[in-house]
Amino acid sequence: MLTSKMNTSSKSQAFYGDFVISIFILVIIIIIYFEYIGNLSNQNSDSLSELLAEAKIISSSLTGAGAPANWNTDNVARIGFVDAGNKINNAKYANLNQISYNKTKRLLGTTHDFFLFFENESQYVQNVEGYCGIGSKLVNITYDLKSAYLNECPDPDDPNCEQFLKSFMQTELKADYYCSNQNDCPPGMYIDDLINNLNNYDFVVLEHPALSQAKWNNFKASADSWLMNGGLLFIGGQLPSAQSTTGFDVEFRKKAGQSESDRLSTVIREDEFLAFEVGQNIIFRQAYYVVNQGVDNGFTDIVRFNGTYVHFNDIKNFGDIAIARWLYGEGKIFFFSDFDANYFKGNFAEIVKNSAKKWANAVCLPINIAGLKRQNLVRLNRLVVYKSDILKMVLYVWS
Amino acid sequence: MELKKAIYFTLDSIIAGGIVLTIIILLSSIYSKEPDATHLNYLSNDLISILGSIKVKEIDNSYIKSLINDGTITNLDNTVLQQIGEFWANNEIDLAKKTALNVTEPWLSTHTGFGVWINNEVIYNRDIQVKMYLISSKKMISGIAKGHITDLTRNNPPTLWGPAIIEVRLWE
Repeated sequence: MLTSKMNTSSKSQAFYGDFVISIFILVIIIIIYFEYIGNLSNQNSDSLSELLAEAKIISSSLTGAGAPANWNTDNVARIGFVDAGNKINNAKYANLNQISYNKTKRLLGTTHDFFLFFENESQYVQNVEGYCGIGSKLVNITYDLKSAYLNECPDPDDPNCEQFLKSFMQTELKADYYCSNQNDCPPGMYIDDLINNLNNYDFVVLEHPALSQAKWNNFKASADSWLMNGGLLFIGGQLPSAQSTTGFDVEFRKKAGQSESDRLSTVIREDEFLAFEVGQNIIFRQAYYVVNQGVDNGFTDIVRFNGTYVHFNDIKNFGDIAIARWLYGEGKIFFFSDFDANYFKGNFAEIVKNSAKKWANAVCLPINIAGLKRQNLVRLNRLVVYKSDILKMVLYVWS
Repeated sequence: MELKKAIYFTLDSIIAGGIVLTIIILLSSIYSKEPDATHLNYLSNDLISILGSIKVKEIDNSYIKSLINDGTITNLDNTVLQQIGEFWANNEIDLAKKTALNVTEPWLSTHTGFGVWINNEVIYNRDIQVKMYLISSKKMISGIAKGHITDLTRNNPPTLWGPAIIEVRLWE
């Protein structure tokens, strides 16, 4: 009886000892943890407040009008893209996107990295003028848009192929790749597959597909209803093999001559979707053009070939149309003579890509900053108006 | 038998230690996330600037659109602040309150206090205690009285309401 009682007592002691030791260890860990966090906070508070002060300066600059009042990429002295009433000035915001990141930092007077984006009232990232955000390339921007890309090359990595939009389509828009040459096409990637799957896509790009007339006719037949229901189609380069073909209420033609003077064109109209400057020249690698054959309204000619004309008004009135966009039912079509072109005032491909994102109204996926290597990071929110929507402008600045 | 029990206790303590460490690591990661810095002075200025310039016919807001559609709002050139003021001038405080609530609600966190006053008369006030600080922005507003002709001639001037001072307060 006594032995049994002692055993019980001994077991109780063991429990109690374990408990005391574990509580003791826990208390020590908690004390060390809070000491460490406290010191960390003190050490970083100065740099954090400096960073916050800098974020405030940057946000104040960005939400101003900038200088000079109607600044552009050539004469900008201070960056700002918000007018009175906190309204985003679309042209200035588009200009900001044309300025390199390092120059933007210099103009903002900061050595820290930054990233800027907008959220709508549902807290989704908002596509503003074709951009989901501006700033450091360390922040990944991705779009939620079902898209497809058709090119004549069977090998997506063939460097000899004309594939100027391929990289953009595949990396940024995660587009499905299709080719128009059946012999070498991997299974499921042939033009017929695209025709069958067309209704799965919001946005399709045909870059120099060089289709047979029969395949072009099949594509047209299928794309007709797809466009009528709101699809977005970008076409450029050689469509079918023939010199001339029709479709989507226009006639597509190849210029008779392909010398440099034949391929020289001029921007004749400012367009809200294409940031080309009126009067500037573009030389396409190949010269194709469209003739409006039945688009009643919504046909916008943006760039015309100079041809034999010298004066701007003659080119504007009589030149062949090198770039145009038009409405087709609920859908939209954008025609480019070629995606391979030299634009004297900027990067042609970049402008086309931005136009794609703007026209397609691509939905931006959430901005993820978890992978950023940084010591300190601050977030500053402002409210602005884009078109008729109030948006939250989110600015991240980090060191 | 006793030895077995001791091993069992050691495992217990290792597991407990692991749990404690995991919690500490998780706490650290939460602690080091970016601070939410919607500064009330910016928010207050931005709100009064936006609502004082965007017109009711422009703003993409379902509540205001419904008021336009049912004829409650007649002057489509009113800014949102003017519209709130017009409701106040017509003693339609509930409409003024709902307008203020609908256009601002998506931009305010649940722990941020918000209120609108016109000439010190409360229009809308979130029931949140002021714990840290309060920011106030004011703007003078006036407008054409509801239902009055808007041809601005010397002989036939429109009837105006106001001027009144509209105040937006934000606090935490």
